[in-house]
Order: sequence, then C-alpha cells, then structure tokens
Amino acid sequence: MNRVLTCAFWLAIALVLTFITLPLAVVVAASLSPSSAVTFLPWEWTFDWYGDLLADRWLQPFLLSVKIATVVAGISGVLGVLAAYAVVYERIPGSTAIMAGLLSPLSVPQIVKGVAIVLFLSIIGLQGVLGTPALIAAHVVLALPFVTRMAATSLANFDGNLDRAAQSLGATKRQRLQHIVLPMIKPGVLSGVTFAFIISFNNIPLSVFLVRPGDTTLPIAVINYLEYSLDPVMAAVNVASMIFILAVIFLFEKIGGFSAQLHGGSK
Amino acid sequence: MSTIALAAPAAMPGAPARTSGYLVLAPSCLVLTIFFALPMGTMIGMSFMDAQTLSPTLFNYQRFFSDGLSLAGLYRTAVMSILVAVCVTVLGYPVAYYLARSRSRWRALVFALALAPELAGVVLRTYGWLIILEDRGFINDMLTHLGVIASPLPLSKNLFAVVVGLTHVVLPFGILSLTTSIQGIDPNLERAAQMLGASRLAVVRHIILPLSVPGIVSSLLIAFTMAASAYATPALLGGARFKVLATMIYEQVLFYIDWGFAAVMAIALLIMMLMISFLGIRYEARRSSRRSNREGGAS
Amino acid sequence: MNSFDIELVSVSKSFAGIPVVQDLNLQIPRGEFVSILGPSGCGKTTTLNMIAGFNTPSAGDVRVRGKSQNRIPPERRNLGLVFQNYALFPHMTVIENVGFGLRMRGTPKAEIGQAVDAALRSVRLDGFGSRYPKALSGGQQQRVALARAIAPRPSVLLLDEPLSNLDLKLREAMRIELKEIQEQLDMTFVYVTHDQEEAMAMSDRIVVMWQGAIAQQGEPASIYRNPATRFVADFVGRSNILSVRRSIPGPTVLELCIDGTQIVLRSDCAGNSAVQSCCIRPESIALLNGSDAGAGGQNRLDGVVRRIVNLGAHVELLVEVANGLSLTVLVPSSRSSLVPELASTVTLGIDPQDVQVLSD
Repeated sequence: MNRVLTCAFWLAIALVLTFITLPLAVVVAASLSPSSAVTFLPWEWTFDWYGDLLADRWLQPFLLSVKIATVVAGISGVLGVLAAYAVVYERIPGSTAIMAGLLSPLSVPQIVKGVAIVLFLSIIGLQGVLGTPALIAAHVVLALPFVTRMAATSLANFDGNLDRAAQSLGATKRQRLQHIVLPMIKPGVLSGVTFAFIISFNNIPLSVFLVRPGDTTLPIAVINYLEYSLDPVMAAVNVASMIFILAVIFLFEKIGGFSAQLHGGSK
Repeated sequence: MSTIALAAPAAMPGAPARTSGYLVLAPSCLVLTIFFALPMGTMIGMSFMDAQTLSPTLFNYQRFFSDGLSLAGLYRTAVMSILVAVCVTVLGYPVAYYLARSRSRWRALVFALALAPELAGVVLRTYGWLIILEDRGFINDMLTHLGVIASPLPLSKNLFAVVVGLTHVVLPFGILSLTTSIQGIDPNLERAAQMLGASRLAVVRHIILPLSVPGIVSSLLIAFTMAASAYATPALLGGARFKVLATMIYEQVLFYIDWGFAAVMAIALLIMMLMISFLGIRYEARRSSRRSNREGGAS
Repeated sequence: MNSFDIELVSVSKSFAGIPVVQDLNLQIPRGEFVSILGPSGCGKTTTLNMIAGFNTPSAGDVRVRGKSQNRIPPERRNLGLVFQNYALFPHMTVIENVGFGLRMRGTPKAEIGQAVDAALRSVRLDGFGSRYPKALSGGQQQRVALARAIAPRPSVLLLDEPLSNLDLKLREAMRIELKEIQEQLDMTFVYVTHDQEEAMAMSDRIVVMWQGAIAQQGEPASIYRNPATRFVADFVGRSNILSVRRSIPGPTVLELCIDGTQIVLRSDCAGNSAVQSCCIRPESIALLNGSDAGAGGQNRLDGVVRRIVNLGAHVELLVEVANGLSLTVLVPSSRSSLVPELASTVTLGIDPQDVQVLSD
C-alpha cells in the first residue's frame, strides 16, 4: 500500500515537471530546427534562425524593451525605496493607510490598468505621448508597488538592534542610513529592481494598449508576428530573450554579491 | 494582499524627520495619482457616458447585461479561471510537498525546474504550447504519423488549450504558496501520527491535508485571479473562438473603439477580482479569529 | 565635580499610560561594576534604554558625569552598549565591526587600526579580524560585540543580558573574563540581568529591581545575607520564607510566632511587632545530633525528613517540622554520614542571626 503510494507520488512529480519543462524544451528544439515547419523534433540542427535576430525587425523592439525596462527599474527602485523608508523607517502617521494606498494597484488586473491609462490619456488629449513615455509611466505604475513592498519587507525585517548598536557607537542618522540600513536592505531592493526590470521587459497586457504602431516592444512584436506564423525565428527570439533575462538576473546577483557573505560562513 | 509588519528601528522621532518623511513619499504618490488613481476614475466615469456625445447614460451597463455576448464572456472567464485554479492546486501539491519536506540534493533541481519557467515570460511558454497543440502541431503530427488518428484533434483555440496554457503560467505561484504552507506544518506531527499507527495515506488525509488548507485556499485564489486577468495566453491559445473578458476588452478598445463599453467590461473584471480577494481576506480573518479564540480558551 | 558616572534622578517612564519605571533614583560611581537585577518585566531594560537614550524618561533626569542627557540623542552620549543578541553588523568583518564606532567619529585610519587591535586583544580575539560574524561561534560573537562597544573608549559600558544566549560552561567562563576586562579597562559597567548568580559573581554592587522600582541595592554579599524584602529574599538565592503571625520584641532578640503552629523563632534582627515574614537560608540550617545540645540561644526544631534530592555538591532535604510547615535544608554531600534517611526524625538548629526578618 505504502509502496504504491510512494510510486504514485514520484510519478506525479515526474509528470508535473515534464508538464512544466515540455513547452520550454519544445521552443528550444524548434529554434534549432532547420526546416521552417516546427512540427517535429529536429534530427539535425542549425543556428541560422538566431542570425535573423539581428535584423531591425527584432533588434529595434528589443532595444526599445531594454530601454524602457531599464528606466522603469531605475525609477521604481528609487521611488520604492523612498516610499518604504518614509512608511516603515520614519513611521510617519497614517503609515498603514499610506502603505495600503501605495500597494493598491496590485489588486487591479493589468488589462484594466491598461484600459484606464489609455482612456485617460485620450480623454485629456495626450494621445501624442503614446509610445515610450506612456509605456514607461504605465510600467512604473505596475512595478512600483512590487518594489515598494519588497523594500518595505526588507526594512521591516531589518533588526532594529543593528541600528541602535550603530547609534550607541556614535553613528549619526545619515551615517546609519549609509553604512547600516542601505547595505542591509540592498538584497531585497535589488531583487525588487530585478523583478521590475523583468515584468517591464516581458509585459504584454499594458503595452498592448500603449505601443505606437511600428515602434513596439519585443513581446508585442512577438505576439503580433504569432498571429500570422509560428516559424522557428519566433523560437529563436523567445530563447534569446530568455537568455537575456537570465543574464540580467545573474548581473544583479553579482552586484548584490555580498549576500554570499551573509549566508555562507566565509572565512 | 499581504500586510507588512511596521515594526521598525526606533529612529529618534522629531519634526524634521516627519517632514522629510512626507517629502520622500511625494514622488510615489504623485506617480500613482496621475497614472493610476486619475485613470481609474476616468475609466469609471467613462462607463457612465456615451462614447460619442460624452453625455451621461446607463446604456453601457444595460448593454453588458442584455447583449448576451458579454455575460457569456464573463461566464467563460469564470469557468476558465476555476478550472485553472483547480488544476494548479492539484498539480502543484505533490511538488510542493516534496519541496517542503525533502532534504535530498535533487531538491534544488526540482525547485529550479518548477520555478525557472517563470523567468521565461508568458510569450515563450504560450508559443511552446502553440507548437505542441496546433492542428499541425507536435501532438497531432505524432498521432497522425502513428496512424492513431486520421484528422487532427481540436487541441487549440478552445477552453482546453487556454486552461493548459494558463495552468502552466500560474503553476509556479501555486507551488510557492503551497510549499510555504506545508513548510509551516511541524514534521513531528507526521512522525507522531506514524508512531500512532497511521499509514502514509492516513497521514496525508488526516494530518497534512487538513493543516495545509490555508495554503490550498491561497493557491486557489492566486491561480483564479491570475487566470481571470491574463491577457496574452487566452489571446494566443483561445483566439477568436474562445474569448474571455480580457480579450474582449482589448477588442472594444482597439477595434470597436467603444470606450464606455470597454470601461464597463473592465469594471466587471475588476469587480470579479475584488470579490475573490475579498473572499480570501474574509477567510484569513475568520481563521485568525478562530485561532485567537482557541488560544484565549486555553489560557 | 562629583564622582558619579551615571545618575538617575526621580526617573519615571510609562508606555501608553502604563507605568514601567516609577520614581527611580540611582547613582552609579565611577569604575564600578553595577548589576541591575530583576525578573523580566521589572523595568530593568527600560532603565538601561533610558540611560542609553533609546527611551526618553516621562519624568525625571538622566545624568552622565553630572550632565543632563535628556536632550542628547544616543549617538552623542558616548556610552557603549552590548546587546543580548550581539547585533553585529552581518555585512562587515570583525575588524570593520570593531572599528565602526571610531570610523563614525572620523578618527584617522591608523589610530582606528591600533584601537581595533587593542580591543580585539583585550577580548582575546586577535587573528579573527577578517572573518564575518556568521563564521564565528556564539562565544566569539559575544566577544566581538564587547570589543566593538569598548573600542571607542566610552565613559560607561551598558550590557543588556549579554551572556544569556551562551551555554552554561561558556557563560560561567565569560563571567570571570568580563570582570577581568572591566578591572583592566577601569571602566564603569552597568550590567542588566535576570540571573542572580551572574550578578553575584561579577558585581561590585547589585541593584535589585521589582515592579519598576528599586527593591534593594548593596554589595552582593549583604544582599544575600540581609535581604530587605520578601521579594528580594525569594528572588536572590534560595530561601525558606515563613509567614509571621505575631512578633514579640525583646531587649536583644525578637520572638517570632510562625504561622500554622506555635513555633517560636528567635531572631537577632532588630524589629518591631509589625513583622510579616522572615527568611532562613537553607544552608544556614544545621542538622543536630541527638546528643548535640547546640549553642546557647539557638533555635531547635524537631521534624521528619519527607524528601531527599541529590544536587551533586549538596543534598537538599525537605523537613516537616510541624503540621503543614516544612523547611528546606541544604547539607554538603561531602558529609554524607550526616545525611539522614527518608522518614527519619531529625533536629534542626537555626542560629538567631540567620533568621532575617523581612518587610513586605
């Protein structure tokens, strides 16, 4: 009885993991497929499709996405840390209500936020800002609550005794913020900023309303193309953008590298 | 929504700190007011207006409830989201249990496999499912080659495809919330039950499942809300044949340019989401009040 | 210029209207090792935080070397503080941690280096400087915390239960070491603890706190020998506390009638008829042989041994001397011949000077 159950358990896990990895594996396989039909596992493979990525058709949207995601990550990082600092560290009056307000966009679906922003811009006659400025603003609205929440959590988990210890050693508030508080919340803030970059880079539901025709972000370019064709260049685009995201995460992990010292007892 | 404990280091409170506190808060408030609060207000206002003349009307709401298509879209959205929620929780549970309890060196690999796809973005994964489920896709191709079927199975552009795609998108979040919940269960409870003669199955049924109900509830809620608000996956895997609220809103805005009606649909979706969140909050509140009663009774 | 490093003048503190410290007056002379001892919730940590500046008194004045500190923030009080959980900065090496205080004051690099070396040497941690706190044992972290606090040469070092996270052996070793370091530095230490043994072992003076006020203060030996109140007698050391029904003041001795029976105990303490209770330390009760008449004037009580508990160095007896009245007696194990058997009858001798009357 127990044996059957154990087998069923392992089988279930294997099946679920297969389910999770299958589409990824299929896309990677398709990107290496030599034929333009991506219907079967390739028995021979080629990198030709990746060569097509340098065409303007894919390069321009990619660069736009990178530009927007970078600006969005920067803005939400700074604003989120400041807001979390005011609410959690300074404990300004009404902080619970303020926090609820700062996080309220999280409970509104992206597509609804997208509609609201495009309607608002049209009503006040600012269709002209559609494109990069509107995309940045909308993505900040999307990313800021996440960054604020992560920074606030880091600050709330921050051991107040460290701050007091620094104070008893004569550190002024400025010195404490610089030497103790910021370094301690850095990992949380960096993961928030990384997250902001990724959700901006991959975003569809907001961008779909706000891009200007002919000047789109990468995910929008991809779904527009997918309406017509499933050919392997799509697979190559997707794989390349995933590799790019992994590189970004790796980079941020390197920047926040001191976390290694916090968690592994280095000598 | 999660709340953040405001236990904070004791800064010396003083007037200058207060002022600077509000000052550093200002940019965030400004951005969220201009690009979130005002647009939301505008959208709600638009729902009560005629798109052409901008005169007040309830017509958009009447249309939503009477044209049949909109309510059908709402119904499809709800059914799809419930199916996704159930699939995510059922599929995620064994993996979550393994992740919460295992100390083997394979754990890290399983963890990475379970969560890494989240980094790949929705498009890549949806594209993968398109390749697999298309009429001339992986599965149909293989089955035709093997002679099992003569004509392709209808695997894409329907409810099935959308549920598969969304389950895949949402699964990592379900696994995370279930893992956290199961990790919170003292492993000694399982050992104690075993020592009292319970079989593995009995341990799962009488100890783990009841104690992980909060995790199951939060997994269901997260999956439902994520599925109901998803856009790209239903758009690509459901296509014109399986429309949900999110894709219908998009059509209203960009093809029919009927802003008032789009606003009503968006509000319908928002209300559905808020109702689900409210259920979650009520459940959480009931649970914590029950817990405090129990503790109060014991002392 | 007075010689007190720290003075608390009628200091009170309440949180949300609930008084935690009430009208506290305390003077701590320069160079002393003073322990503030009390159970949790007695207000000792609040008192320490008021000295450090993390809590502002609701009323009264905190003075450091004669100067009122009420408007001075913690970072400008030049006091050192050692935390219970050490509060070492996890992102800094040992050297960076210990040098932090001097760095914040803008001390030149070379000087910081020397001070850090000296501080690490005084806690015997030289050679660990480049490690991170996570790579140190609990005892080593504790020493780093101490070195960090003393490196800027504060006028007073405050210690908030710094040993309570260590295991017993290490804790006992650190007691001696802390006292040595304090003498070496000739620095005033204010040590907050709930562990009376710890306070006894290190302090020049003990301040026992209860319910937000000072219950008694004095040298460790005198607090142990002459507890002033029922609370102190109970909290510091082990004791038999007996309720007194009636007391008859005599010319040299006080006769106490103990509750429950008509036992009369004589005490050397001056006292009055309002005495409510008295205390007898278990180790001051002697077991008398039948033939042993005992010294003149000694209290003699007969009783039956009801329980024997072996504590290693000592054997603890519970002797029922009358219906409902039992005394705990401590006998050294080395004199095992003296240890009676269970249910045997024994005679207890109690010197009147060991019967301490208490006020409540």
